[in-house]
Amino acid sequence: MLSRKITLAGIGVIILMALLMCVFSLYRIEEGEQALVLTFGEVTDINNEAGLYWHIPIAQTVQKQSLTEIYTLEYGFRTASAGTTSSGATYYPREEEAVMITRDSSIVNVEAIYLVSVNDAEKFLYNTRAPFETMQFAFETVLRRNIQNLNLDDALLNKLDIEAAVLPDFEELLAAYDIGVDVQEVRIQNIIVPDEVMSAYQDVTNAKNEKTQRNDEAEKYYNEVVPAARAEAYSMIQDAEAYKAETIATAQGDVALFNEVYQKYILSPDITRRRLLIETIEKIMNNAEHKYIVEDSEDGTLKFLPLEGGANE
Amino acid sequence: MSNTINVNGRMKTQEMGRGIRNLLLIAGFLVLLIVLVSASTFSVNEHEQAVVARFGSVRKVIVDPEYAAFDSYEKGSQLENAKIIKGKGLFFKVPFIDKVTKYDSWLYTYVSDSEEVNTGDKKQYFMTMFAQWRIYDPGRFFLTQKSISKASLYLDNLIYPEIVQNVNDLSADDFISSKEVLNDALTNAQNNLNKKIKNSGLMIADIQVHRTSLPASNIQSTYNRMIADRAKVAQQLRAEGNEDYEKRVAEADLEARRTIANAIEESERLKGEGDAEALAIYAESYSVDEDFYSFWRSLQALETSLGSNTTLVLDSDHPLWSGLLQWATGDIAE
Repeated sequence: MLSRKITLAGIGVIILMALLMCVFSLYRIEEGEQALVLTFGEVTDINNEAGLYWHIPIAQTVQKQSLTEIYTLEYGFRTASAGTTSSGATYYPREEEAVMITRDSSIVNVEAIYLVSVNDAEKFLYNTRAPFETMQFAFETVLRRNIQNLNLDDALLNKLDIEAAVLPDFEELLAAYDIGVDVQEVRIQNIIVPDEVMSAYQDVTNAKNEKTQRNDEAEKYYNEVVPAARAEAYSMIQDAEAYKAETIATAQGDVALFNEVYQKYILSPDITRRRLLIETIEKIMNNAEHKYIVEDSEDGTLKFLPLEGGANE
Repeated sequence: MSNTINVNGRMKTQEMGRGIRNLLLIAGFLVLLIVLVSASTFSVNEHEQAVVARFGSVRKVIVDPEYAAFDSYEKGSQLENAKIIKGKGLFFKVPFIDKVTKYDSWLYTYVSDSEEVNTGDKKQYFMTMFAQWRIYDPGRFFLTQKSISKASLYLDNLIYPEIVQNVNDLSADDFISSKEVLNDALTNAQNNLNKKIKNSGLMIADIQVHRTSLPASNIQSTYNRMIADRAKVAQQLRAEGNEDYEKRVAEADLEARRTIANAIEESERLKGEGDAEALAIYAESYSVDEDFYSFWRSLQALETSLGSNTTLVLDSDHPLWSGLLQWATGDIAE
């Protein structure tokens, strides 16, 4: 009686344990996750639907991988601390990654990031031993080869072109590894000359600015000189116009005066002639400040007659 | 009373002992079953392959169906009797006799050290490369390499000289800047290597030179060249700026002087016109009586030329004076 009870209790414990195992074998798939059901290590089911599921205990295990998470990977620098709302992010450079040579054997520093997401959990988890490490090597290969394809000046100026060229090469290489990821974006963060030559590059920028400045100065000079010349020219022409008008007016005035005198003259020519002469002499005499009349006498002495304008003295 | 109690107690103890024995029996059976099952099965995970050997001789090779493109080993080889099974999951073995060795089927990455390499045109670079490789045949791998660390060393000794030899044939420009030429060289190297390592059960999926850098001794001279190059550009820009400035200043001066010159021309023309017109006016009027005009005009000239501030010294015979006297006296005399 009792032995059966104990046996039953034992069986009960075993059933209870089995039930517990079944309960612990429930698993949940979140939105955007892919679950691989492995039966003795072999992938026997792939499930993308969010929800609650159950797998056979012991024989099956479940591997989950997000297909929506975007991994941001860095090349040429690393983030030391992500920024918070009150402080900016800090970075430190990875010189040995960032320093690259260009087609014209110059040296340039490049910092880049790439954004990837997993599109196939099985490939991502089982096709390469270390998928992120493999991606980093592939990215380095593609990025450097594209930079090496360019001359320094082109590399410095064509960030967007480099991004556009790196992306398909990178995708192609990763497709060859069948790594199960999508490349969302390749972004060149920074492409600059090394510190050692930075000042020489800045000097070129200065020289460019100076050139612009000289240009401005020339324009300023032009704006000073040419309008001034135009103003002078204008005033010269105005003067000439005035002179012309004056000369003509004077001539007309003179002629009018002459005509007037002449009208009188033809009435009695002799008298008018004499009158005019006398009037003129009179004016001359009046105007002259000092007047001396000298007479050459027979005895050789000079007779001297000062005629001072009585009123003037 | 006490006896019956004792008997009852003994009976209970006996019954309990039997129950525990049954339970232990069941438990023991279960344990035995688990041990037996686990000893006669093994699981091959999604990224794994396995070799089953019995007393050292390979009996079964479990390969990855994606990468193993063969169904049996050729006759006469050591693996002649091995059975190839493509797949993953649960497999059986003879307990305690068969030994299972598992190898990963995924891609491993080999990374070389940074090594100096000379291009065809005698330029030196340091390059680092990586190769993606995998065990495509765990059977051969089991016989030849046994471990991943041994395989890594084996590959290192093979890959590096092969790549160096291929790079030696390239010009520096091709090595650095031609994606196609370098890719061809690497593919060529990869094919050669895959022939060599075929019997080790290995295959290289890809080789890339991921980092090429200048030798340390060249870096400073490169910087110097870059600086000199920029200095040249800066100098040129400045010279151009000055040239431009001088040119535009000269142009401005020219334009200004031309404007003035035109104005001089125009104003002279205007003055000439004025003079000509005035002359015409005079001529028209004075031609009526030229004699009178000469007289009248002479008087005017006399008047204006002998203005105030003049000191007149006249001989008593001078017409200016004598004429006046004459007229005055003559008139009286007459």
